[in-house]
Amino acid sequence: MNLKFALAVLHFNVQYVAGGMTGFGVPNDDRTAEQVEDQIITESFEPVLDLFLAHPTWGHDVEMQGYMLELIAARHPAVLAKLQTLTGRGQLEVMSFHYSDQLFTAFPRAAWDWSVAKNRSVFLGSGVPLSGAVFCQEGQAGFGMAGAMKDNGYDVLVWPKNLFTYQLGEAEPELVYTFGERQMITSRDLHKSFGGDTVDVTWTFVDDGELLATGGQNPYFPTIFKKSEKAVKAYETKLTNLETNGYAISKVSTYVSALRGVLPTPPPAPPMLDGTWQPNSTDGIHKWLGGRGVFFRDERDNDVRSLQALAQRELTVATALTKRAGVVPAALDDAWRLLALGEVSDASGINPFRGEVEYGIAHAAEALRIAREVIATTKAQLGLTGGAWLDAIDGSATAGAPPSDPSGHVELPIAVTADAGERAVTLSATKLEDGHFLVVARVPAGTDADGSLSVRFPGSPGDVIYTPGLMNAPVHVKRDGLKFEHFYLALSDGLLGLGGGWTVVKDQASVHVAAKVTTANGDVTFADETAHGNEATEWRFHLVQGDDARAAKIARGLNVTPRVWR
Amino acid sequence: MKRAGLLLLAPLVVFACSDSTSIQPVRATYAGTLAVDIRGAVDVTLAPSDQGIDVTLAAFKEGYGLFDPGKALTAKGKTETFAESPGWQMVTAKFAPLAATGASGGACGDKPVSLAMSLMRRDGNPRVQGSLTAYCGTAYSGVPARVLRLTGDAGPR
Repeated sequence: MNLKFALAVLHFNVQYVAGGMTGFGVPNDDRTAEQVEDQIITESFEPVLDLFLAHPTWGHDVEMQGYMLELIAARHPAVLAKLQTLTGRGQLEVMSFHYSDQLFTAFPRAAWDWSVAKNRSVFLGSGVPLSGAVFCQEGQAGFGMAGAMKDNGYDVLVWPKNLFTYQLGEAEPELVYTFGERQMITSRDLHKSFGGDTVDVTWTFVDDGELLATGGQNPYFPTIFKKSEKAVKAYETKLTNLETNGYAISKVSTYVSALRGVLPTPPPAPPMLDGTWQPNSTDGIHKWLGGRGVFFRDERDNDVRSLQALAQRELTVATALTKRAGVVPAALDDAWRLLALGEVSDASGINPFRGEVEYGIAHAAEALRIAREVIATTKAQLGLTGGAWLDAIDGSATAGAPPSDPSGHVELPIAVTADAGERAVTLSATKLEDGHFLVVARVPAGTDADGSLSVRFPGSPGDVIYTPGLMNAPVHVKRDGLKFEHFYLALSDGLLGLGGGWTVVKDQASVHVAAKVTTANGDVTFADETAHGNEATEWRFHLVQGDDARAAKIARGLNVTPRVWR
Repeated sequence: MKRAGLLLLAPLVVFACSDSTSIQPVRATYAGTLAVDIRGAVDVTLAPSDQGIDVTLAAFKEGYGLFDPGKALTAKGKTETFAESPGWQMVTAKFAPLAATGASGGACGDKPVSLAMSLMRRDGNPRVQGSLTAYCGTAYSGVPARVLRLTGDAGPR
């Protein structure tokens, strides 16, 4: 048997220019968010549907956030009807793992939990089936997704080929892996033989779907971001030629099902770290968490992501509190939606312009306002007139005095260093309890708006210990199995092992830039190249001595399920 | 440079030590011109009062089909702090619902417009950033008609 499959992932993102084009270029090219969204749907998405309507034997995968489907259903009923026809015929499958194209691997799971539930309801309401195949915004992929996929009915993850190669070198991947209790494939062309059977798989397109039907144009250039008959024809010809050569133009799910008939039990996926699809050109997730883009003077990666972390904490507390009180207001759902939209990856990378940066900030600020108001209202309903301690774990509320400022300044327990260019950085440490220190880096405002800040923690080169996105506890990944020189980690709960019994935990509401790890040594560096040198900055870290469980408890108490005084 | 940084941190100290659940007295009036969705502008004033903060948004360059840009928006606001994250400070205000303008093309049609402001300041810097969010109707939640982005400096006057 010779199986030949041609696969694709057309990754669409209706938040390609989050918040619209106003302020990007000349005023004549301003477009509202709605205009940009509509143009994406009509100029780049609908032509793809038309292509596949004309070829009823072809299958394909498109990926989009639930928000895009929501907009299609609300404003483009004819496009929705075409999509329903194609999915009803079994030709297209729509991948969707998040309601907004959010940087979900960088935040505690609560935001994604809300997102995936919302997504399910959007798909159900629109009459479009949600595929069991998964591909994500920015190609985000990580091992924490396996359990989340199982919990939510997803079957197979498409792991970006470059993220695989960046971590494991040029070793050829298997056709399919077991991935927890799910499966995983890579987006790499492969030819494999099994006894007398052969399998050939080729990927015809794994990229921004907006580019396919527009000849490579993107929505940042609205005057030329138009359907190109020539581009569509070229793709049609490419698929026709493959079909002529015996390839099935197929869906991912069809391919994986076919493999089950010819392959022995797939091996487990090799250990890899959370990442994104083009780690070479974006330096991993650094571009979204501290790395400079083209418009770096307007970027504020740390402001965007730390404010969102602050808002997510508040929402997590508000949700727990109201659930326990038995009065969950609809406004909380609205706030989670705002936060999901704000956590869109484009607010801090790859090359966000000012409008996108401020989109992320504005949505998070409003989500935070609502959450705080819900907390105040709920406290009043509970008869709490003064300050109270609110616990996100169980939603309990206990009247009490505010926390006192931490005292007990001590020498830095390990040799932490910091650099802010021409600005002086002050590092201080406070002992909170035995083996638990608060480390604060402070840098005053300077005169030059162009600034940077980095803080480095010494470590020893053992396992990489961190909590992958969508997981609840740290894992160990063998450093000597990784082929890169360096790698950036988002740290969903802020935790990263330093070796020697030490763990650093970033306070995400203060510093939420990526951690740089290397294979040469165990040192860890947090750096923000988008800092504004004419503004004062304070970063807060916790240093924890002890085992993984202790560090995880502190990380969760800080970033995931905090106990706060309000 | 260090001295300048300390001066900028001074207002933060006032808020960081106070009760986050109560209405916060602002010691000084803060004011500035903020960008609205980059191309627009508004003059913001945050003035201390017995009941919190008197928030004024005036001289909008445009009304975005939601409000009359020639009329100042005023509301009683409050400052919120975060005991566990002392670097952050939030000023919020809800403006009384504005009657429908009846203008064709307005995002809310014949419904009133409710505006909520949320401005974040961190690490004592003059810069504030956040949103002025418009909801159709009289509630201050739901799916917004518009999330206007506000950014700029609002320092002591």
